[in-house]
Amino acid sequence: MSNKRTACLLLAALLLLVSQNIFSQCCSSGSPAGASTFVGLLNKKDIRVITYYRNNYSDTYFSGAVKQTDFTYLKNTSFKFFGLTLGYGITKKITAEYEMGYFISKVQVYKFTPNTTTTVKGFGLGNGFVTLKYGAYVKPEKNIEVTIGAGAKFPFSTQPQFVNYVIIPRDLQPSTGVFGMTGLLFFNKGFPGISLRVFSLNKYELNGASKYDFGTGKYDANYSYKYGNMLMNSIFVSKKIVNNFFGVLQFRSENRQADHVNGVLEQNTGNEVLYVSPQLSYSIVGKWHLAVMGDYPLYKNYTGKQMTPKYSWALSLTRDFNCGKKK
Amino acid sequence: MLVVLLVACKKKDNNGPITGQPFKFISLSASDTSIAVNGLTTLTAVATGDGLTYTWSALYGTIIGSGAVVQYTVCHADNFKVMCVIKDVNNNTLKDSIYINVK
Repeated sequence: MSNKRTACLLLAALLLLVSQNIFSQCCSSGSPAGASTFVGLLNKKDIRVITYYRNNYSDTYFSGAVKQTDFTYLKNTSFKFFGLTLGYGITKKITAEYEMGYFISKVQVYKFTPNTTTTVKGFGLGNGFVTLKYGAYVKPEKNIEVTIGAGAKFPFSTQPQFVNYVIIPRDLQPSTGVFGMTGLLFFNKGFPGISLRVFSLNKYELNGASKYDFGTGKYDANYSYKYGNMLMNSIFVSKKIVNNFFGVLQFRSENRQADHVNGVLEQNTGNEVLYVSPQLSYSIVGKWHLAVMGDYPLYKNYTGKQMTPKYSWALSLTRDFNCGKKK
Repeated sequence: MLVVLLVACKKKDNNGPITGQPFKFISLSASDTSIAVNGLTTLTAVATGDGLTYTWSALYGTIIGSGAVVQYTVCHADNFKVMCVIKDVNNNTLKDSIYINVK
């Protein structure tokens, strides 16, 4: 058996193992934006592995679209996140994807006195996602792909995280602890003559409600914390710069609805943010893809007073394994 | 007596400050039950028993520290409940809660 075939079988086994975990464990919730532009279909039996590291920093409060300079509850917040996405081409028109990630740290830094800071930290597995994508209109000869997808969002635990027997704030929990559903629409149009690609991704996340009451530290059938749903719209332009180097410019809007507690709107939740995300990627023999990218908010509008993102950067490494028949 | 009880308030009482004492949640108090937004209050749980662990939870806000004495802060105004559950070496639990008004 060739090394390539062995690697493909091992990856397929890993994908299967991960899929079994979806059903043997119980839960998951939200996670940071991914760090890959590989969102389309895979060829039959091909496998794609995407790993990425994302670092996010925030130190500015907003109320509405206005920066708040007199509100200094938190000095700053940040997180470090490692993400993994596995994709598998079931048929030439159906691709399955599994996403998961781990918060290396989620940190809030308080400054209650001028000369001292206090740090509160969370960490752990974020939410997982399983998605099936279907190529609704795929015309390689025209360089057009329209793909729709649907999936499930799941937590690895419905229990909130306690550190040293102390519950950490909801904002620092690595997972929402609730199940959800996702839907997506992907459109791609290539212009090979000028080495240009334009594509868009629209994704909607429908979040379920948690029955875990942080106030009493236990489950309550009559309690409900409903995380707001999220709509994300992205448009990308990708252009080959020189051999193996590609530049990508992404504009992304994220609209998060407010959370609700027992049906009552939760203050200081819900927002609209428009990001610009430049990216530079390097392709090695068409199979390895190394990318670095940044996220910068161009417009922010927050309900109540909320800490808002300042910048984020990510590194990603993608590898394609062509396990199917050669074309 | 008060000094002895306060000495007993450790997060994990491996040394057993008051061994042989019956498991009892004596009090849960706050240095300030009314604080400003962004303010801090110190919460103290006093209990007797062996091998005590103190579990703190709050619907909103942040609990800083661990053990029998913690600090609590919230970023917006309202009346907030903080709960402390104490477990002894035999897994018996006792709980109490306190409301902090944030203005």
